[in-house]
Amino acid sequence: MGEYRGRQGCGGGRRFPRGGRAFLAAALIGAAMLPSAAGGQDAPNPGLADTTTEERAQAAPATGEQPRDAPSSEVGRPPASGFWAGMSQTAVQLRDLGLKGDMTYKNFSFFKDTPNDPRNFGNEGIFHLQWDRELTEWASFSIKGEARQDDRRFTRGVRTRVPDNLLHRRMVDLMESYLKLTLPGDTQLTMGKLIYTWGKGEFYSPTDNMSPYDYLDVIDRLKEPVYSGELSKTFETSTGPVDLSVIFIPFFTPARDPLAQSRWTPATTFIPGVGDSVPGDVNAQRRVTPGREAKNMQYAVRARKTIGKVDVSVSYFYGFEYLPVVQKNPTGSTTTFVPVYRHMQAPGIDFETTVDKFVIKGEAAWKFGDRELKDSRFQGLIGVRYTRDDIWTQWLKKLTVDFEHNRQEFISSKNPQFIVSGSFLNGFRNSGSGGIEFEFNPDQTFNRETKFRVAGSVDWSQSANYWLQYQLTVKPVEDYTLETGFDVFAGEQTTFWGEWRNNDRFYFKMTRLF
Amino acid sequence: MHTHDRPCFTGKLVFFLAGLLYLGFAGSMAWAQTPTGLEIMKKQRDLQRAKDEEETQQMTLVNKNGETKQRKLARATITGSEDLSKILIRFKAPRDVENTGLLTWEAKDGNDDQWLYLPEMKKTMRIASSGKKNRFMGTDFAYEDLRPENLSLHTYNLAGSEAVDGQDCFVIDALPGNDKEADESGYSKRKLWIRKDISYTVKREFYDKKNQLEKVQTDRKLVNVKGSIWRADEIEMRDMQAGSKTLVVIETRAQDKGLKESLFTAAALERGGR
Repeated sequence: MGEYRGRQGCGGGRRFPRGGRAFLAAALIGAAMLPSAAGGQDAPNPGLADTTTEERAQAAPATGEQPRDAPSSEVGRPPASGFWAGMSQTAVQLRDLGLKGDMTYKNFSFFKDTPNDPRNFGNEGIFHLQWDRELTEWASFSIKGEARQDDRRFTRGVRTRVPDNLLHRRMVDLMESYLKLTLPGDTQLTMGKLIYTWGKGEFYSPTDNMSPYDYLDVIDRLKEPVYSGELSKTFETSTGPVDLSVIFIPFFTPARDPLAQSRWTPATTFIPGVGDSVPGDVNAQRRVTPGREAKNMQYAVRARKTIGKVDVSVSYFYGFEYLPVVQKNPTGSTTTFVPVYRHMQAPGIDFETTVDKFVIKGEAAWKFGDRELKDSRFQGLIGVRYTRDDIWTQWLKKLTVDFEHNRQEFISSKNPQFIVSGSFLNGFRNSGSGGIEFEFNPDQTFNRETKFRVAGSVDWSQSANYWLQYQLTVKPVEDYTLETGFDVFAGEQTTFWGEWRNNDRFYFKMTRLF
Repeated sequence: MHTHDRPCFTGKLVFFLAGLLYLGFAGSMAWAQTPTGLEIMKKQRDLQRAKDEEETQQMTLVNKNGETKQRKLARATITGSEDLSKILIRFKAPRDVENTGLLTWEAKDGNDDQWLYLPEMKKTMRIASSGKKNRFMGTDFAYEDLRPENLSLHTYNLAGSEAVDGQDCFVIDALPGNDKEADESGYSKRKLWIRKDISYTVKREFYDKKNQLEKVQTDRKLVNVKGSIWRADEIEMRDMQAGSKTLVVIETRAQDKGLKESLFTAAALERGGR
């Protein structure tokens, strides 16, 4: 333990961004997004609005109808002024240049202190800018950049790295960015920093092994699944009735684990049945990532086809699991713990079909450890989603209920030298997860949905422990989304979710798209 | 008298035969001029069908207060075996649904297959087929309004002839053809005005379950895009009860480009969203 604390100490206060400045930056992004009476209305493209009006005027004589409605961009839109007018104008100018993006402000308010992180409030500001361009009929590119700041100590520095094995997020980073070539014969070659999301699981997918996740805020990752792309090449083609994807990833990128001084990092992680308590911050402090060697290159292939009314895909992944396992090294009277990334070969299969209002889905992967860590696991899920969108009331637009049962089994015996610890998917691997969502639409015309969702997960592998989330999403006007809700964790301290029972919180998130 | 009677008998015979001929001709003319509702619909389907079609649409939504919203989408359709279509819709605007894709495979029994691509999640998910009566993207169009006419799910009765904008039209009453369709559809009846000269539906009235007029669709600016195929460059759907309307302007259009079926798969839906 002393070793880890020593490394934490190296960080000192200087390494972290000053909270005040970070908060100011986050708040500025938030303030810039606030909808006003002027800027908050959805602005039709003036050019399009004009065209429409003109078209209508031309059409009127042909039908003998007067263009009495004559909607225009001015209708329902009070004149913008000052700062807000500037913001809207800037957004329009960016669109004209082929640029688009979004701004997000997040606030988290925790109800209890934790030993690792006593701060009860956190703010994040995120800015994305994307540029898409068609070069020719067969070539196009997309570049997406990110600027972010927070007072949660998640973000530090501007220098990025390939592969990105940094513990913190970067203040400026390149997100998914690629060159896409359309080749003869329904074939597409995509090269760059790409994100892959395979599988059918809502909360966790056994076949989703390529793009690493960001677990700095473990629960927040469920809504923003992937933090960054991976340098890779994808070759996708349709071969007769089958869609085939072949992916080559030259460098391994690990997931971002919770930081040592984080409220998501417990003091120790108790491993039931193993009898060891692993320092909670071990992943953040001593992990050993695979080097940039030819033998560490990763590959994946997937074939997809719809047979009758069933979508089926078969996949194979050869590479590293992006979450580490902890290697236990007894040295004399002391034991050291070293997180390592296990290499595996993972064939997988998934399916999805509909039966009336139900979507039924399943997914399975067999993960065979093939180097020093030879334990092998089966991971699978079966799930159902029920949707009603022809409901009996005018104000309730849609009802969705989903449930997934997840299961993990060891195929070969566990190697006692390795401990499957600190894995932020463990809570989902033997669990029941699901949610119920109500989508309201009081304004029948303009799709101003309001959603209320209760979601959660129960970990079956230990005594009752669970996470519940209550979330309200409101779209006051198009291009603006407000989210607010509560996360609740329950269970004994030694359980997966119970470890975070001091992390009950209220959150608020505001996003503006442009 | 005999000599006088003979010509008279011959004349009567000629008159009788001529009458028979006339009746037969008139009868056949009458049949030709009044085909059944189903025959009119089949003829329309045969004349207006394209193997594949692509278009971009600009939609303007106007609510009862006169406020407007814009939607923009690209739509591709391919018609395969048994006249069943595959329809791919990619939203271009507004920003919050940009690049969202909806793929529909029409099924003979009406239980269509549908997939939704969500760019934020970068995933394609199969969805339970949208309720036919639901409004599409907040517009005045219901999902069932946007599907190709499925002749096996409806009965068509010829109700007469009427002029629309000076053009002679058949008036057809389209009714749900079975209990399932009656239950799932938002309409008790649709009234269709089909131009006799080009077999194109220029006006539709939609009646709700209480048999009250709910919506009126008018197709304008007809263009002969290819052979017997006509399309409207402007479509208006007016909700008479809510006081709202949706105006669709076709910005670009192409027929029979030789689109491949492989472009209408869940994988292609994902590829196109990237």
